[in-house]
This record gives sequence, C-alpha cells and structure tokens, in this order.
Amino acid sequence: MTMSIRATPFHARAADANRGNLWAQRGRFTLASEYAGVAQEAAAARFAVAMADISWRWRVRLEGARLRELTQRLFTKDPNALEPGQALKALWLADQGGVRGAGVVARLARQSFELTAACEDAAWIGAAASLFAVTLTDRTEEEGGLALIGPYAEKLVATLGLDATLAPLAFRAVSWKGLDVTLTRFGEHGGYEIWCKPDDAPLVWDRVAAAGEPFALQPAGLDAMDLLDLEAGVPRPGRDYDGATAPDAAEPLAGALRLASLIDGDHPFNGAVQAHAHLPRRKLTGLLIDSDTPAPFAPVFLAGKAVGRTLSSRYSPFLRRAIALVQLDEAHAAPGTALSLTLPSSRGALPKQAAARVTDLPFIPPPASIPA
Amino acid sequence: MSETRYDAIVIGAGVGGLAAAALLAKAGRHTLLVERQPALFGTLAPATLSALDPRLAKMLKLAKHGFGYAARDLPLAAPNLLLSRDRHATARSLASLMPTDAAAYTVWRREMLSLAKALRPAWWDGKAVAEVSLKPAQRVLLDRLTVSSAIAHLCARFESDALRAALAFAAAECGAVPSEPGSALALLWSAAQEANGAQGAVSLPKGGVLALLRALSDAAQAAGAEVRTATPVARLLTSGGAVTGVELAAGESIETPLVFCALGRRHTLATLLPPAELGLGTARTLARPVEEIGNAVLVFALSAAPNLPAPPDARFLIAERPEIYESAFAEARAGRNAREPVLELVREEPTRLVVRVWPVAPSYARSDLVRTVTLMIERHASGFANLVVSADLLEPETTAPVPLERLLASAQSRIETPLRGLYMVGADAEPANALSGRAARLAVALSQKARPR
Amino acid sequence: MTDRYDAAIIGAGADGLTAAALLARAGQRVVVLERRAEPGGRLVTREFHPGFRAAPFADALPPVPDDLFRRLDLARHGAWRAPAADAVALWPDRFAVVPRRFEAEAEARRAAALAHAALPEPPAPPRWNILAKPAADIWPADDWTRASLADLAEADAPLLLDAPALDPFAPGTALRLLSKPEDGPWRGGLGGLGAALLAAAREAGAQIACNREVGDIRSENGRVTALATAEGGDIAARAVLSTLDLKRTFLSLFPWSALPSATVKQIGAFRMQGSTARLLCALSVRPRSPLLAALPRGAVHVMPDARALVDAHAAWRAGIISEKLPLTLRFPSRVDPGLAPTGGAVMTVSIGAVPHTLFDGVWTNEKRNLLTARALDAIEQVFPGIGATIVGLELLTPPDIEQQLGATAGDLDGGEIAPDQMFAFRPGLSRKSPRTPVQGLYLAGPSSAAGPLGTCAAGAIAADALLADLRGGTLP
Repeated sequence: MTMSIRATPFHARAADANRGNLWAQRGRFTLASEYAGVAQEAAAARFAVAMADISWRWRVRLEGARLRELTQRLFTKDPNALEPGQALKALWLADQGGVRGAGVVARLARQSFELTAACEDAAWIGAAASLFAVTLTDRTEEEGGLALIGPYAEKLVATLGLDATLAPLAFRAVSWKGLDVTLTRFGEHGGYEIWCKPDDAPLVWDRVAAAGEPFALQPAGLDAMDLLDLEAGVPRPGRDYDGATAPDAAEPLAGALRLASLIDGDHPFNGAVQAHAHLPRRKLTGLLIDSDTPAPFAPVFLAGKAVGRTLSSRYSPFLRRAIALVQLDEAHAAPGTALSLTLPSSRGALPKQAAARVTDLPFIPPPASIPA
Repeated sequence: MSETRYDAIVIGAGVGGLAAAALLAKAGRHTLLVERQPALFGTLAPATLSALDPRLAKMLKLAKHGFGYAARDLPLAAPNLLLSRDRHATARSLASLMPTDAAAYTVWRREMLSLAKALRPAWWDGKAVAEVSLKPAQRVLLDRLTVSSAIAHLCARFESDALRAALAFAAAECGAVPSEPGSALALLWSAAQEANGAQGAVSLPKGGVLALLRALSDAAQAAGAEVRTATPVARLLTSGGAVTGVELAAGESIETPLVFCALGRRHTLATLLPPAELGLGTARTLARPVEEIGNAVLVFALSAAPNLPAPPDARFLIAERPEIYESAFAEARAGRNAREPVLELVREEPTRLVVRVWPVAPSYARSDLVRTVTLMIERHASGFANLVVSADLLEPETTAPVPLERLLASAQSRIETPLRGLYMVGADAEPANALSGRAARLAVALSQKARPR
Repeated sequence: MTDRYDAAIIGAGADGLTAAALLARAGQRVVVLERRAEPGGRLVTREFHPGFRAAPFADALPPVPDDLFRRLDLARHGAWRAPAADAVALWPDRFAVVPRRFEAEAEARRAAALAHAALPEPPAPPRWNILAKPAADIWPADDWTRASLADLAEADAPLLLDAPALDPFAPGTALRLLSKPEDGPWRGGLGGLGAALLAAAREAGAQIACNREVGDIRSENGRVTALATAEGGDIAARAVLSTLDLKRTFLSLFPWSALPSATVKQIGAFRMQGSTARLLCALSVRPRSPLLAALPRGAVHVMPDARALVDAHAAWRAGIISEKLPLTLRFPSRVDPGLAPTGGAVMTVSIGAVPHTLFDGVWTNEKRNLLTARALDAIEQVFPGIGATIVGLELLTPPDIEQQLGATAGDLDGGEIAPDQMFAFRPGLSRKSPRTPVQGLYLAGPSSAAGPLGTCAAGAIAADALLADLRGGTLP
C-alpha cells in the first residue's frame, strides 16, 4: 500500500500556512493537522474566528424517480418536507438499529437532495439508492469548502460582502464578486461554510484571509477541529464509533451517541424497530479526568466495576485537563458521579489510575455570535 | 643551572603564595616559588590589614621576620561619625547622629560578634558553614543574613544613612557587592576576622602590607624555598587527572607533583590547563564572561598633613549614603568610572595617604580616577588638592564579586581543584577576598593529608 | 447586616474572590468588601477610550494553578484562555523570537514553590534556610535563588521579562522567573478571568459588597473581631482574610499598638517600590512593523538591551525618568478582536523603571507628558507611523496604580522580589503561614508567600488554612 498526498483545492494555501509541516489523512485527503498549535487554533474559534478546510467531507447528490421513498426509508428524519434551500440533520442506521452515519441532508430542488457527511458510506447508500432507481453522484471533489467558526464568523461573512442573514441548516447559492459559491450553515459549531469550485479555491482562501485579519482569523487544522468536536460533545463516525465499517451492527444506538434528537419516531426508516427496542441503556456524556493524559477507549470503573468506556479523549487547554466522551450505563451517568480509569502508560512506565468525574455535555458551550 | 624537579611549585608571590612557599619549605619540601613580576613586591600596597591568619603568623614566626603592628584596632570615621572600640565615644557620636541608633548599634554589634565567633571554626578550619552547630537564635540570624543584602540588613536595623553606609563598607571590603543578596553574610565574615588579637578589627602593620609580604618572603627563603622572579608560567603539565609539572613561558619544563597557585581560580583553570582538561562543559562555563570589578589603591604623597575631620589614627570613609554602593557598582559593572566611588583613607604616615577606591572596572580611566578621588577628598578636607605632591596608582586586580557560595562552602571546595595535586591559595580561595594567608595554610595541610611524605 | 460572618474578606480581586468561592462552597458565611465600585482588582477590563477596552494594570499574570482552575470550575464560568505566544524582541533593524527554554524549568520551580507556600507550617528554620542548604534538599535551595538573570540566560535573560526595574546582573534577579511563564491571554482580557471568578464566588453563595472600604480591623486581645468600614458600621466576623499588601494590611488597618512592635518594624522595613507605568493606546488601524509578517500575539520587547536596563535601573533608584525605558508592548485585540472596534487595535505598553516618587517632586503633567513622549518615541522606531494612528491614550503612573489598585507605592509585585523577601522571609506572617500574629487574620494577596508565584493561589491557600481553623475549633 502506498501513501500519497491527495490535495484538497486549498492545499497550496494550507501548505504555505502550515509552517510546522504537520499533515494527517482525513477521508480521501491530506490536510493540515495543525498550523499554529491546537490551543491557539481552538482559542481563535472561541475568541475570534477560525478557518478550517472542510473539503474532505463526503458529499453525494441523490437524484431519481423514487427519491422520496428512498430518503424516507434511509434517513431517520424525513427531508421531503423541506423547501429547497433548507436542510436537516439525520442519521442512517443498520438493520439492527446501529448508527452507520450522520449527516446533513439538503434539498437542492424538488428532485434533488445532497448529503454531506463526515464519513463515506457509498456502498451502503449506493445499494439502497439502486433499489429505488435513485442515482448517487459523488460531488466530494467537485467543490472545496472552508468553514468559518467563532463569534466573529458572522461579521467576517458580512465583511466579505456575503449576505450573512442565513438561518442554521439553510444554504444559498450566490454569485460573489465573480465567483459562484454556496454559503451554508451546516456545521456543528455554528458558523458558516463557503463552498466553491476547485479552481477558485485559492482566491476564496485569500479573500477570507485578508478580510479576516481584523478579526484575528486563524487557520485551524484537523486536531483543533477534533478538539472543538470533543468539547462540544459531538461524536464522529470513524473516530468515536465504527459506523459504516461495521456491516450490520446493533450498536451503537443513537441514544448512546447523544443523537436521539435526530430520530423522528413517526416515520418508518431502516432500523427503526430495533432502534426503539428495549436494549440495555447506555448514555453518552462527558468525563473530566484528573490528569493531563488523555485516555481514549478505556474502560471506566465505579468501585471496581466497569460501568462504561470512553470514546475520544484529548487534553483540553480550556479546561486544563484531559476530557473524554464516555458511554455509561444510564444508572451511573448522573453529572458529578466519581469514577476512575487507567491512563495509558508511556515509555515503559507503570499504568496510572486517575480519578474522573461525569459532567454534562457540552463541556464548554459555544460562544455567542457577535452580530454583523 | 636551575633544577628541573621540585617537591612543590608555588605560582604567584602574593600573601597566599609566599605563605604557601614558607609553610612547604618549613615542612621540608623542596619548594620553588615563581613570580611573573621582575621584583618580588612592588612599592604600593593597601595600608591596612583586616585579616591575617593568627595561626599562620605563629607557625611562620612572622614577628621574628620583622612583622609588627604600628597601630591596632583602627577606629572607623566618616563625616560626623566615629566608630571606635571606645564604646562611650561611639555612643556619643551615634547619639548626636540618631539617638535610636546608639542602642541599636550596641545590640547589633553584640549579635554579630557572637555569631561570628561561633562561625570562626568553620572559616578558620575549613568546615562548611552549614555544618556548624548554632543556637536557634543564631541560626535564625544566619539564615536571614544569607539571603539579605548588606544594605537591606543595615537599613532594617539602623535609621541613619551615615551609619548604614559606614557599616556596609565591611561587605565591600571583602569583595561582595553590598546591595546584593547574600552580602550581609560578608558583614559577618568581616566581624569574624582577627587582627592583632581583636575580633573584627582593622590594624595598620608597621610599614604597611608590604611589610607583611617582606616578612613572609623572609620566612620562606629562610626555610629554604627557592624564588624566581620574572618567571611567568605558560601552562601546567598534567597526566591522568593529576599535575605533573609546570611549563614556564621561557619554554623550560619543571617536574613537580604539587602546584599551589595564587592566581584566580577561573584564570588558572581556564588558561593554565590544556584545553578541555576539565571537560567541555566546565570549559564552557569558564569561558563565559564574568563582570569583574576590583578596588584600586592610590597613594598620595603630601606636602603637609591633610585636614581630615577625623582622628589621625582612624580610617576615614567617604560613603555618605548606602545608595552610593549600588550606583557605583552598577557603573563599574558597565565598565565606567563610578561618578562617586567609595573611598577609604588611611594615613600611613602624616604625609602619606593611602586611599582605597571601590569599585573599579577593568577598563577604568586612570587619569579620571585620580581627579575624581582628589576632588572627593577635597570636599572633606579643604586645601587637600594643593598638598598633593604625587599620586601613585596600584593597578587594581579585578575579580568577580564574591558569591555567597564561597562564604558558605567548605575550604576544601575552594582550595582543591578537579586536578589532583593542584591547590588554589589566592584571594578567591578564601571565603572572601582577603590577605589572610589562611587558604595557604589549609592548602598545605590538605596536600599533606593527600600525599603524606 | 445582622449577625457575625464566618469570614470577612478584604478586597474582591483574584485572591479575595477565590477565597470567597472556596469558603462559601464549604458552607461558610462569607462577605467580600471591595473599595471600588467594580470587583476584580487587577482582573478588570475597562473601556479606556470609546470602543477600546484593556486591562489597566497588567495583561498577563502568573498562571492560575491548574488544579485550582479545575477546582473553581472556571472554564464553566467562562474563563477561556488562549495559549501564551512567543515574545518578540524588536529593534528598528532586526527582531528575535525570545527563546522559551526556561519556561519548562520555571514552571516546575513555580509549582514546587507553590507547594511550599501551601505548607501548613514552614519547615523549622535550619531547614528553611533556602540558600545554605545543599541543592536538591528543599526548594529552592539551589543556584536559582541567588543567580542573576544574566548568569542564567547568558545574554537573553532580560528579554524574558516585562519591563522590569532591575539590574539583570545582580544576584537574586533570577527569582523573577518564578512569576513566569505567564497565563493567558484570556477572552475579554483579564476581566474575563475576573468575571468567571466573580460568577464562581456568587454561585457558591458568597456576598460581594462593592463601594465598601475597610477602615480598620478591630481586634481584642490579639484576636480579630470585626471590620470597621469607612462608611461607618462594623461587620463582625470570626476571621478576616486580607488580600491587601503587607503594608496596607498591617500599617494602615491596625493601630500600631495592636501589633507586636517587632512585627511593625519588620513590616516597615519590607521593601515595596513601584516600577511600572502603563500606557493604554487606542489605535485607529492595526500597527505594522516592516520586519514582522504579522502583528505578534505575544509580548513585544522594544529594543531590549541589558546595559540599558542597568542604566534605567540606576535612574529609577535615583527617582529619575530614564532616557531609555524598558518597554513591553502587547496587542490584546490581536487575540480577542472584541477589545477594539473593527479595524482598530488596542496596544498596551508596560513601561519599566518608572519611579513612584520622583527626586524633584510629584508627577506633574509635564512629567507625565515626558514619560509618554519618551515611550512613544521608542515605539515609533519599531512601528514607524504608529504615533499618527493613536486616537486615545491613558497613562497610569505608579502613583495612579497605587491610588486605583491600592497597591503600596504602586508595587505590582507585592514587594521587591529578592531572596530576603520571599517565602518564609516575608514579615507579618506567623510560623503557620498564611496565618499572622493576629489570631483570626489571614493574609492572601500579593505580599503573601504565594503572592508572586501564582494568580488566585494565595487566596486558595489562605482559604484552606482559614477553613481548617474554623473546623478545628481554633477560631471562636
């Protein structure tokens, strides 16, 4: 197997900004993992505005005769009530009820939806689509995307000359000083996304970078974005759960990922029965670890008994400690519950126990947006 | 034909070097003393002595070699201030200055002398200060002195600036910077000294400090030490971490297992040893520049006795406020002449005034210095400038200010070197810069312990 | 105010609010009395020119210890911190990024020192002799305490400091590094941290009373009984926690006869001397340096030079406004754009070696203008054209800082940082620091042992001691 760099449309600009030359793979692409340090980039997303390349997100267009039936069957919320220009967040589940993926379903036109997701699931969704004579068009490489996150995102978008009056989960195609772009508000952390043609990407980056200077704009890499996800309590397929890589799983249930709100009980989507079945209840919540060392995917104990396990874990510079998403038996998931876990050891040292405390998600609420 | 093998070689003919040579020769070692200068001692030296190891004086029978005191226990005078052994005179002087200080001074002096006495075994026999057992109150005082600057300490105890400045001089005199933390301990060291039988006293030898050098030299040569002047040393010869000899600048090599060096420790280790002999890390440390300062001695020959406002036998100090020390040392460190240095004036003879000037940077301006000093004295003794017949300047030897470690460390750590057979006996082998000869006595004893005959 | 409080706290700054939060959370009845209209002490961000906000006294303080930060749940209360950025030394023709090689070491030492400051009882005097003990025995018994900055860092140590008044060649100056590395910048400036602490204290149930100046600490038989406020009326309390500095606490809040005379004398000899002035500048555009690609996020030391520091220090000692001033610039709006209007920028200047008392009298307008002009001239050399973009200025001289912050002589460090003034050598503390010779009086604030080492730390240490005594029954 060979490793090769798969550039996003913004790669040239990102390479200039990525002075530490730290890269990571995400989806099909090679992206900067950090530009100026995770803490600084995450701080920009809370104090000012951060700019992240999100071209790696998987985007597919669904079009065809029985589109309505497919989308109702596939997604945990029915997107057919949407007007063009609107979107919703939904899951798709395995037959046994396990979450395969989560994404934003946007209605482009009466007969056209586009799914934007953090994890590819082309084989599964493609097979489903073919049953309903729906075609699946991969558009991932047709556009580059820049996310603008932070309290000054709205002001920045207005300063760019784009109309910032856009509701969350809405989008709009606009002509912007000679470029055709789409402005969306699909992100988990508030903010805006600008999608453009690959050839226009460097120009878009430059425009944003120049206009962002007064707002202390900071490019943010994958590590900082992962930290923001974690602090916001957002689990991601591929990172926090298997999703599409487990063919027909009963786990994880949406509730165990704190995604139950994305399930609409009234319509019969794939896996609905099982998702509602009475299974041992686990809950996704936050864990504050009394240490600087993160403990991902570690069992957590209450009085010596395992009561759950952590998912992603990172050091949070804001909380000045390691934090983790944790799936706990519901009985032990009350905020304040004192638990313990074993920290991973390094360089041959003995593993250490650390105390931890359950807390509500999100760990840190997002900052209020400063209106334009 | 000079010999090429000795039991011991001493480098440098200061108090430390001469004392070491005399003690070694007396102990029966075949000893050579080498001195860079063409003559054994110049014509200029400080006038007073505040620290001569009494045991050394006894061992070498210096009195038999013509050493004696002209005046003992000199009072310290400053404008409007007289500190002398006569308690009543001191109290009267202080009372007119600042009544509360008279009582405070008595208490302070008693505390300092008592603690100094307790610490004398450490400083005299080479133990580390921390190993001395003390009463709890003494320990508290010592703890405080080790972290305080002399000036802060004195400011906390006394109210009069003149008294603070006068007492701070003791710290400056032994090479500490009185405004720096730890220099308060130097006050204690000064109080521990014994000159002429009195603790903490300053005396005037007959013939000045030169007479001491002569007596030591007589003692050394009488005991059989060989002396070569105008003989600079190029480097030390070593093998396997031990000294094996000395190479002279003239090219000649002399074998010896023991070298006593009266030069500065840094200078010795950095320049007289083969490169990196002590390790690359040590070499790097030694190569770092150090701010060196020192004091200069100016000898004024006068046409008549000067009109100083002090008893004729007193040391007269010109340092009116304690802040003077800080600014003067800062200027010296910056390589400039201090606008207002600290002066100690001693009348060696009625018309011969020996002035020590603190502090002086290595790159000081000579002519300015003489002028500044003359004008400063003129302010206190009107007509002084007109009395000056000549002013001779003893080139200052500058050293790094005495760090606290030296005052606290054991003698062994100051005298011994990483190189076997090499012992330091110069001024910086003493706890503080002083002409006591004690380092030489301890070094010879250490060498005899390491290599009994 | 009816009956007695368990604890009355003087000053609603970092230490006062921390102590209030911890004590109230432990179920004690707590009141905090603040002289000014706003709580926060130096943790305030205020508008100094319309649309421009800055923390007037400092931009960065020593870190809030991590465990304390977690214990107070400050992130939840909105205290968000960006990482400290590299400092830059800037000359008209060159620049250098200040090496951070001491930071890890300083961090470890600071933590060790804090652990010491928190000791319920300092070690017996022989063990507490921090300089005479062999290295590695107890902190900080090694060369750090007596090293000079120049020793420690060879050439660049002076660059590590914000505009100090010190001779970097003098032994003991390395102790300054203990209040490094700095914490923040905080969202909303230091006021962001202050607001979070206030929220934590209020949530815990502490009562915060502003515009209440304490006039006297009343004591009977060597035991604290109440606080007398300047407005009249006593506030009875079982214990008093003062976050004022030593001199204010003991010399202005007590009749001297109420204290042991040795204590009064020692506190009188404690050296406190302000040396920092602050210049807050509102800029209409973001400044540019021809040398730097972007405006630095961290401190910018303007033409730092060890020799100039020595001269400035000498001038400071003599009460003169130095020709060359140590200047450290910061651009808080570079990290938090909310501190300036869009397009503008906030620049704060810490001017070092500024005397509290001038040799020839008080700070007149001419003197203030001279200081401002000298500082701006130097800044103009590294940021050409910046002078023309200044739309608002506020100068705080050491007397202003004294008046506004209540810091004796405008000393922001709570006393000269020197080995004989640190740790157990701080006067006014009993052997069981942070307790004092007056029963029921606890000292937090800048002059306490932990004061210069960490933000909020002294407050937590005093609160813990007070709580132990309340529970242990040593306080009636």
